Amino acid sequence: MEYVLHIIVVAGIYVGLAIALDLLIGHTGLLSLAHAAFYGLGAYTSALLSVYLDTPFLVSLVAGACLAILLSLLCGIIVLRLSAEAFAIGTFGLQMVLFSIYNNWMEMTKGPFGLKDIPRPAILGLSPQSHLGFSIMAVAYAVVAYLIASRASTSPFGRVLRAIREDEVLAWSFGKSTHRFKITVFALSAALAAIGGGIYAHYVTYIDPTSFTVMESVLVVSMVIIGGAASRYGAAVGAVVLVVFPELLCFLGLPGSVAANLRQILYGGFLVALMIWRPQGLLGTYTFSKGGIRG
Amino acid sequence: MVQVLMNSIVTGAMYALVAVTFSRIYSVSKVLHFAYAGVYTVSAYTYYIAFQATNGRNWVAAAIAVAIAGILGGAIERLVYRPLRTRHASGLTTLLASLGVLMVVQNSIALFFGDLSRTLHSSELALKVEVFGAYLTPLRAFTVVISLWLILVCWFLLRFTRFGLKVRAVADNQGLASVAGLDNDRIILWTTAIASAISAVAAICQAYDTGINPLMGFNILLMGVVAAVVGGMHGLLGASAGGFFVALVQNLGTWVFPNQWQDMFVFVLLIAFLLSRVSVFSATQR
Amino acid sequence: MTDTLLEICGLNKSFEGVNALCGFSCSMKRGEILGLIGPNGAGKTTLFNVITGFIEPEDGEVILKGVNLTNSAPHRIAKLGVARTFQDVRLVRQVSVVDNVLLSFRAQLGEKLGNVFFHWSKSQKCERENFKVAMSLLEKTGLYEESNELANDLSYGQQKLLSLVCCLAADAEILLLDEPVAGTAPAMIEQILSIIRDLPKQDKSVIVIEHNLEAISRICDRAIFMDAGAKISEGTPEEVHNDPKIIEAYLD
Repeated sequence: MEYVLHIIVVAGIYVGLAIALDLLIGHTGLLSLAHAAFYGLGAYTSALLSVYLDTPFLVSLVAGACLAILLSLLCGIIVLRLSAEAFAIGTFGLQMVLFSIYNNWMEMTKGPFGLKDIPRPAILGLSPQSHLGFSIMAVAYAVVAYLIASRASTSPFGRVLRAIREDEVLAWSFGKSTHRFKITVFALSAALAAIGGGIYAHYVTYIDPTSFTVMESVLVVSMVIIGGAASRYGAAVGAVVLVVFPELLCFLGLPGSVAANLRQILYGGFLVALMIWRPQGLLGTYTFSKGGIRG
Repeated sequence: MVQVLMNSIVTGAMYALVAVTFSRIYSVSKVLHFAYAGVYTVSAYTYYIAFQATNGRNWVAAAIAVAIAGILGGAIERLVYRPLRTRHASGLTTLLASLGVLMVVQNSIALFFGDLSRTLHSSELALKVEVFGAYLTPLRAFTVVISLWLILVCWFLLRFTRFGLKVRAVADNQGLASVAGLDNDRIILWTTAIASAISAVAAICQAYDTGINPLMGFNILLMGVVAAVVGGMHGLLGASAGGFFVALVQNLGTWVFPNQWQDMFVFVLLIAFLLSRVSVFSATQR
Repeated sequence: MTDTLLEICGLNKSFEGVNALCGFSCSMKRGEILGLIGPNGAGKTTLFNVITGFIEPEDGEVILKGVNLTNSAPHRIAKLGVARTFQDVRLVRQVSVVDNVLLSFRAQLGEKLGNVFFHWSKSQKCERENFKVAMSLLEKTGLYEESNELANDLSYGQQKLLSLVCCLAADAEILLLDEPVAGTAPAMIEQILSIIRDLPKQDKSVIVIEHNLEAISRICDRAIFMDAGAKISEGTPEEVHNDPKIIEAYLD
């Protein structure tokens, strides 16, 4: 039972992350490879506040989100000036720079040794030891992320995002300050990711930089694409599939490291197969084809 | 200081080779072949196995490794990228497929050989010689020489052979090339295979220098990609220069700051470089 | 206060050695429909791009209602009341017709993310009103039936009509229409021209680029003939049509 709850926590967090990233990739057409960096930012901020300043869980979470917003605005202003292709490379650089900070700033993040003894809060009065509280929290996070993304995308704001995705020049001709829109959605996406990071940190009680690498960013990008970019539930489905599917391997009873490698192998194979035979993803209708969007 | 320069030249030569081969594949097929890292790593491990299997016949082992790299690179192109090309897949789709292949290859190696580094020792190659006040080993000198030689070979191939002419034609304009009767797929296949085979040489050198581990390809590719972006994806000279430049930045970083931050400078450089070429409203010519 | 709405002085722009604009000057009065004609490559679209801020000229000025717009960003100029269509019809194709129209509205509360989350009912109210205006525009212009279809599924002529409707929705004072009827069927030409003809009555001013000289003479008060980036002739459509300098330009 605890195992199932654990899966629910992991899945819930990734669903939230994927939905947040889909706002950028699916709705605005911006490929960001820095998502794990903001996820990590939330994790580290939240963990550090709890460990050193004893701040309550929710405060840490919110603080993490605020810091992510600030940082993403700063980075966004820089990196969003680039064209779409250069933006992807720019976020890749950003991801590597932030990872380097997590991995080398020994005074704060303890680098590769990681932060331990992050306090696990009692949620809704439930025991911190049990996974139940966190699974509720993770599901709540996923649901809230979905509601926020849904509201944003069905609003006029979302309409402008889709215009930017397809033809930014057209958006300019109608007076849309596209730079402002892109920065806003970038910050929103980062904030949601940071909250997920905070939840993660307090759940696992120990974090280190290896959870926030560029391959982790790639993992979340894959969830979005595999599920189907810009489709209603695509990001969520992609996240659930990529979390649950490898877990089924556990039932084969393989030793830890073998299982980890095998999981990556299967995941990689699945990714390749899907890209060849169903690039629009499981639920998606849009493919980012050569020369823009194609339905 | 001389040591820094010396290190930069050695690492730079390897980055240059990686950047050159990676960007050649990109220019011909427009694919960001991240699975390159997997091929690179496989060739290092192949050398390791072949070396032990043949009881230390390094040239034989090298030949096997290079051949395997070429075959594997070609296979990935044929089995993964070509179908994607036929289906008019977007850059993002191909990129993800490439990463998927990388994951399969990299983790297969880790599965069979474990995550830890293994080393290759050769006492003659590790002999330190003092040159201009800095330490050099025959291995490192060899690395520089062979990398530069291979880059020259590439240049020669591209510039002076019929094959090179075809490669440049496809790189320039795929549509036009195929209308002119060129078999794009074959040219791309051979280019990928040859570039992969060449990269194996760098892998073997690295195997002697710092050992082999499942992530070695990925780590060097990151630097190679930055080098190619900074130096320009379309020219050999640019990619090579990029390689040396990245190595220099990385080594200067260690000179100025404590060891581990060096990589960050490379990526800050990348971002700064991208920004310097920016024009905000770039899509104005219609 | 004159009724000169737009003033263009001495614009110079060249691309890689080719002169697209050569000291071009003209002015436009409030409420007039100005036609811009000339052979391909004369610089007409370049002129539009400079006015709307997509291209920066090397010299010269664009002054709208006394405000110097030269070198401003395109979205700022658009917000000042300039709307345009593009020679290659630009629409958000993967989105419905009515959504395209809604995109063009200027003051939309719901475009600010803050309003989306904290003033949702006000944003929704604004959106509903815009929706009503959009649907009535579509009805008046004959696209009502297609309002929920994807813009991509419209015929070419309908797409041209739609981009004109979007300009109307933007409620701009100046409309720059780049070949609004080129390549469309006669019935659609009629429809589009009649819409353009009515624009001065709504206090709007229009510059139209067209190759269809008949269309120009039917709707334009004035016309300018351009060639090789310069103004060759200016006057009423008949005057310009009869100007001998034009024949020279075409024969060159």
